[in-house]
Amino acid sequence: MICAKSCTHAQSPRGRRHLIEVGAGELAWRYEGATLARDHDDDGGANYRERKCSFRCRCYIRHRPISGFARFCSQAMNQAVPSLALEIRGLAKSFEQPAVDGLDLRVRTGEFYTLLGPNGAGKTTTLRMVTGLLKPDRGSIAVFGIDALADPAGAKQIMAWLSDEPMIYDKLTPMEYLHFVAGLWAVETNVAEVRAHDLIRWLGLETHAHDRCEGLSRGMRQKVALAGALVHEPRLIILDEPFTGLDAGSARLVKSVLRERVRAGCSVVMTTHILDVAERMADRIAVMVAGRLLAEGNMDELRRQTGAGDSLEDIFLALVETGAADRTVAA
Amino acid sequence: MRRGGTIFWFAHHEWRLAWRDWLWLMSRRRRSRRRLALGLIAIALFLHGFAYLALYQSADLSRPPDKRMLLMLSGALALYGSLMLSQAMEAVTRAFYGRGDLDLILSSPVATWRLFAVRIVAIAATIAVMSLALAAPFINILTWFGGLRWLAAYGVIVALAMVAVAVAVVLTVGLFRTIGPKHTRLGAQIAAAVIGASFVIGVQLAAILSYGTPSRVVFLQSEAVIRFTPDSGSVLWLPARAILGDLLALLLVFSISAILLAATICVFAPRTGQLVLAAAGVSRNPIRQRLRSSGFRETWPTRALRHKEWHLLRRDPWLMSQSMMQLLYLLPPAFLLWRDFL
Repeated sequence: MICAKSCTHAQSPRGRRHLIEVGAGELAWRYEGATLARDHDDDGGANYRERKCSFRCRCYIRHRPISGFARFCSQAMNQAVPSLALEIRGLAKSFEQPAVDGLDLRVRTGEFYTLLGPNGAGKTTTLRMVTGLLKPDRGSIAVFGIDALADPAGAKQIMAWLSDEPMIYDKLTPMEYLHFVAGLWAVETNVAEVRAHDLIRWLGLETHAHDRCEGLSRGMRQKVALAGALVHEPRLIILDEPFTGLDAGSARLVKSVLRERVRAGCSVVMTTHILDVAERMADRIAVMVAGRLLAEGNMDELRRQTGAGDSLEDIFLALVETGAADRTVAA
Repeated sequence: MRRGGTIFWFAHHEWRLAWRDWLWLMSRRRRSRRRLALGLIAIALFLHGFAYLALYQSADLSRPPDKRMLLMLSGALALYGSLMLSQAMEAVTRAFYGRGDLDLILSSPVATWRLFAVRIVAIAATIAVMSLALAAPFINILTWFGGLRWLAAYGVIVALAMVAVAVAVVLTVGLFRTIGPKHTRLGAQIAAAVIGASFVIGVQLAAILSYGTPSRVVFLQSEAVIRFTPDSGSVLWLPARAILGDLLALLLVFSISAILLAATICVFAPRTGQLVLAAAGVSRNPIRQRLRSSGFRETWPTRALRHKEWHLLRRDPWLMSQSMMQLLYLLPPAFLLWRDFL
């Protein structure tokens, strides 16, 4: 659905940008074919506000409230749009023992969702099943309404996966790596080029853009991998412990990148062992123990559910102890 | 830039990585580069010398082929083919179980069969290059002694590499289907070791039993064996004829091998993604060892070292297959000694 509704903005160095899509509950601003920012709009596009561009520039764009045809389009499309970025039902995977055991999980569109759990809780196994890297024994996975088991290519097209030990080709430069990843997602060459340059600049990798990755530090490699995950502008970003091995500066940058993407309408599902990061960044937090979801919600909801102390650490440890006790009883 | 996700795009990507790896290996340090070049020249000279010594007493190599010559060449091809098949099985198993960049590629919407098609061709190319490097001294000396027709052997080696990789893919997928992804890695590595050694050992054992000598040549040239082989016009001799410069035979052997590899890729590459996913599910599974002893025991350092090595050997399929191959090669001399002392 194209409405070609022009927008006004003041500080952009790049010239005019246009709101070209209204539909599917999502609004996108494009410039020369490259999507700059996306926003899910729950109120049907009636109330646009000043917002920040995703990554091409740091300017603010003020959009006039949409009226007339555009609002009609948006509302019509919103009715058909799934409000869930990720929906998992009864997901199970066993190796010798059950790793994930009948997991139900829902991540809303535009939400920052953090999955916590002790080692071996089944977090990574869950995420690998969502990204199509493991075949579940049973259950269903839907990504923005697309059945990821029936149509894996369709689901993967709008998803990005960043593992805890991302693979970067040592013999490629960050720029070549981004071109390769963009090719995997069939991003047009000129669009990929613009995005790759922007991401490299945004992540502070300009000086190393044409150095081979073999010489990069752990933090830089993680940033290159993150850039690779963003180059096709996924609507759902799945991250497995993205802060492992990052120094404070790099961690802050990665956090700001993720916040920015969520603000731009992306949904993020992340696992981490750094509870402070989860507490600060997540809209909702889930705690998994032994392949099962023990609790889910924002901090207030988790406090109510557990009756534990104020901090996420207290809540988490209380839940893990409960899970361990339940497991012992079951055994 | 090529359109992403196509076969040529993947081929370009793989070639770029392989080329840069090669350049890196060749240009690490000037001093080591020079040493490497000298080493390679020395090895090439040594192999050519060895080939000269092995072949200079041979009968007239420019004569028209007879049954005896065809049998010798076919035997050499079978020996070489079994070694190539062994290497190919190793490489195919590594392609299935090694994760590398597969997480990235399998999490993308790209059609993964194209990647695996390229990787199977790359395995065939690698095996062909390695085999050509080893066979080249013999082919060159044969060309020197017997004329340019022997250069056709290069084409036959490439064809043999294609067949070896096609058979390796079929065998490995067959193992996946029969014994499951959990045991395939060990099974394939043991099978590779056995296949690699079986022909050499089989012929040697037959020679020892029949003639009391481990010489494969004596066995293959014996009247008994020649009597059982088909006439020189048989299709069985097609590869041997191709080596001897029969261009029609070479064309046939090359075409059949290429078709076999292409068919294998068409049939199995689309399924390889599923096999890799199955292998990934297994490789993440920790192996629980049975508790054998109740605790630590006092021991000597040498004994502890031996104990550790034995544990590692038992739990490392690759190490086990390599050790097994060494043991298998010891069988003929052991058998010969045993026979002589009886």
